[in-house]
Amino acid sequence: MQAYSTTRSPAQKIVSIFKSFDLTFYIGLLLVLLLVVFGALGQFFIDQRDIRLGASSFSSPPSAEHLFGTDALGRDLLTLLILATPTTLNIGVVTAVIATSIGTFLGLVTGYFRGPLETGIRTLIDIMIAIPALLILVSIASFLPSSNTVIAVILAIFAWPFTARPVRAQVLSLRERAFVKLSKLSKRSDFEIIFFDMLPNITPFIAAGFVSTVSNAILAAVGLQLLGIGPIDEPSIGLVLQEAFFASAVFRELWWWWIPPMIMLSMIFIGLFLISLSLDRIARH
Amino acid sequence: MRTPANGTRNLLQSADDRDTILSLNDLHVEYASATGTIHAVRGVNLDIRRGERFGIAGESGSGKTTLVNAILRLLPETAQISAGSIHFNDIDLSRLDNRSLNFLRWSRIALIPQGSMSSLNPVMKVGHQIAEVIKTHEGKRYNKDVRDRIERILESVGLDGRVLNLYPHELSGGMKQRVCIAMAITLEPELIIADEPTSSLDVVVQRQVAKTLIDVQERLGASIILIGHDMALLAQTAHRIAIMNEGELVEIDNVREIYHRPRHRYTQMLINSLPSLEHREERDIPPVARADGGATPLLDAQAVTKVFGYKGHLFAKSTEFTALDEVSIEVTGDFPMVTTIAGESGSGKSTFANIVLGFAKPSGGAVYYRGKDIARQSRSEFAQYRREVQAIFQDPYEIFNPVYTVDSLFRVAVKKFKLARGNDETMALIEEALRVVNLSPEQVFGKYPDELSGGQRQRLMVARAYLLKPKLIVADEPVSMVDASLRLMILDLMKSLRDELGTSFVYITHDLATAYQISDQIIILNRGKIVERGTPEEVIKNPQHPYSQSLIQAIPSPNPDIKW
Repeated sequence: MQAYSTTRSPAQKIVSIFKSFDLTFYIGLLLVLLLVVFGALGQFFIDQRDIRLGASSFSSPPSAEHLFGTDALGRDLLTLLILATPTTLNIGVVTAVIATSIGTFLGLVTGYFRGPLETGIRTLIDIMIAIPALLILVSIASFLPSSNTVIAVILAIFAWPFTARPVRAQVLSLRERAFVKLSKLSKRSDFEIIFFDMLPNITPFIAAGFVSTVSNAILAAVGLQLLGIGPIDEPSIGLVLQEAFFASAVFRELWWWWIPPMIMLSMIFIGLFLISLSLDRIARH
Repeated sequence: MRTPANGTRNLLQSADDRDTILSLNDLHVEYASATGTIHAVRGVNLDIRRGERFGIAGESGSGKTTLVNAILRLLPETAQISAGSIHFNDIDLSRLDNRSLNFLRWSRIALIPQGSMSSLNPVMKVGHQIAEVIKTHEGKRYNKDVRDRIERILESVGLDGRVLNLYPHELSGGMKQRVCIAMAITLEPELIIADEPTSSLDVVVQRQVAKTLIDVQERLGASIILIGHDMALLAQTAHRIAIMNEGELVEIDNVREIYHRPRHRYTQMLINSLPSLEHREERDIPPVARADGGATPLLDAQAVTKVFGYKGHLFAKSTEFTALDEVSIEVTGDFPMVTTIAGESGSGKSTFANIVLGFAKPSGGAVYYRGKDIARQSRSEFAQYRREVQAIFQDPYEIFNPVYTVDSLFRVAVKKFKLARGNDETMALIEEALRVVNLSPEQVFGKYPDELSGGQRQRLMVARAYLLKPKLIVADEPVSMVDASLRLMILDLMKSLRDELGTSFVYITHDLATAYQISDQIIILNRGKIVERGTPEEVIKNPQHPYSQSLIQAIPSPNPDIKW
């Protein structure tokens, strides 16, 4: 009975998935990967002692010794940024994992079922979306113990409705399709219908949402850092920027302090945007 | 009238008095596609006479729409006329430039496109849309004269002149179709091409619209080409019919010859597949009593009511709509039978199907399957009910989940009902079911739904029902979207399931002709209420309720001798 391949092998599936991506996706991926590699491989070439206060001369421009120069506190900026990159990317990914999981689950459930619980969650989603998140974030973050994990969790609490609502909309249309009726006739349970019939249909959609959640979370985290909220003991790109602005780096013409982190953030946002754009295009076909 | 430029002057000259208005000579149309060239129209020769109603019949994919698009030079960019000529009077349409073509279209050749109801602009009043046609061709602004003229045109297609002040969404389907006819005849063309002009309408309205079209055509003395898949409708409306199959006209003759003495094998198949209202084949095998039958009916719907409520917002008063109103239907458990529930769109027949299948709960009354209320079943009763009550649905595309290969339709059912142990046994079961619908495993296994044809998908749906061998199948319009040959096959399969496996059917349809042929009991629904019930002979030959009478009267007979 091996005569016909009934399903494609996992390897074939992965190949076909990568074939469906366009150039936009790969440009975006390249931008993000460059930063990941920068943060990951850079760890092997740095010395943590270089970021202690006054480790080197203050505010010196890029040189052979300090490729990215030093800040006003005498820290090596290259070392600082290498340590900061994983932290910043982490906040985005952790937030997106939590928010996408909660959002997808609640979106699927409220889209599929009808009833008071569904109405309750739906109303909660609408309220959460209407609340100006940054304002609440600032007040919560200011009295909670300051750590990047806490920031990620708080961001996730405000991010999941933005996944839940579109997922719910997708499910609302999917549940009217005849294949759902056939699954019911085949005695599939509601749980099986949600996870085996509906979820695979919206995977590209969720993937696109995940990527833009990462991007939004990083933006929000940087925003909080710039406002001076957030941990000051873990280096992050936002923190480097905040310190640069706090020290009036722009007016003191210490361009090496604030331009590299700006470029890195741009690479993250443009890269993620391109990936999400491409995934979104796939989801709509 | 606006004077056309020099090049188009001869287009205005009235035709000579020859008999032929349109002449196709060895016409070929080819499509370029990713997999190579598709030869959609292969050497068509055809003469349409002045004042004639000419029907072109064919199944989906036969090339009939491509043919009319070629005549009007409306082919998509991927298609081209690769050989042959199209002569309209003395003008060779295949060589005409765009400017002259634009002039000819509407003014001398008008098109009522397929699904033309949706071609009306939703944000423009009907009158303005018709005025647009007049403005482009005659240069006249929308003034009192034009307005009066449009009113007269609308009245000539059986509409109130005041319709010109309405928007398309304010009109019913039949009215919209009449507006499209009105637009087509505005400039009094010599040739009207109507591509499935009534296919989306209910049968009663279909008859009225078709009659209007014929009236208008006769009054104008125009010729008309009617494209359709419904042989009965063409038999009632056309003088001559051409049968198209795979890009070729296999037979052209007058209606009576085609119906009584079809020569080509394909035509014979089409004619034989037509369900007739004249006589009915009795069941070959007399009903055999079911071993497990008994006093309890298989399905017993008692005063089933379904009310849909809609609330606009939290504080809004909900508007209610009664889809089913105390509908009682009994399907006996003594012997397998086919119960037809017939009605037009909006009659509530699909709502009833959903309730029987357990997808919706009735607002009042109850449906009993083997004596158990299906809304109040225990776990084990529900398992048995799911195993024994299955369905065949209308849309063969929607029934497949696009992310899985089509065999998952079978695998899930086999797995959940534990019909087989191991892969080999599963495959053997599936292959047996596929054989019944004339599909080979190679054709379908590992394929995604969009890699199969509509016919193949519908056959898979029937194969699934066969695989499960249920006691009751709810067949919701199983043949309304399929071609004649496949329709015959599916109806035969339903009969053999009934006679050999003892499966009863609830056949939901708008098509009384097929219902007459395969049912043991017909129930006619109108706006959620049962208006007629009885044996096929009683209901079709001697309907009591005025609604059923009008419904049955409106069914076109494929026999041209029986006038509509």
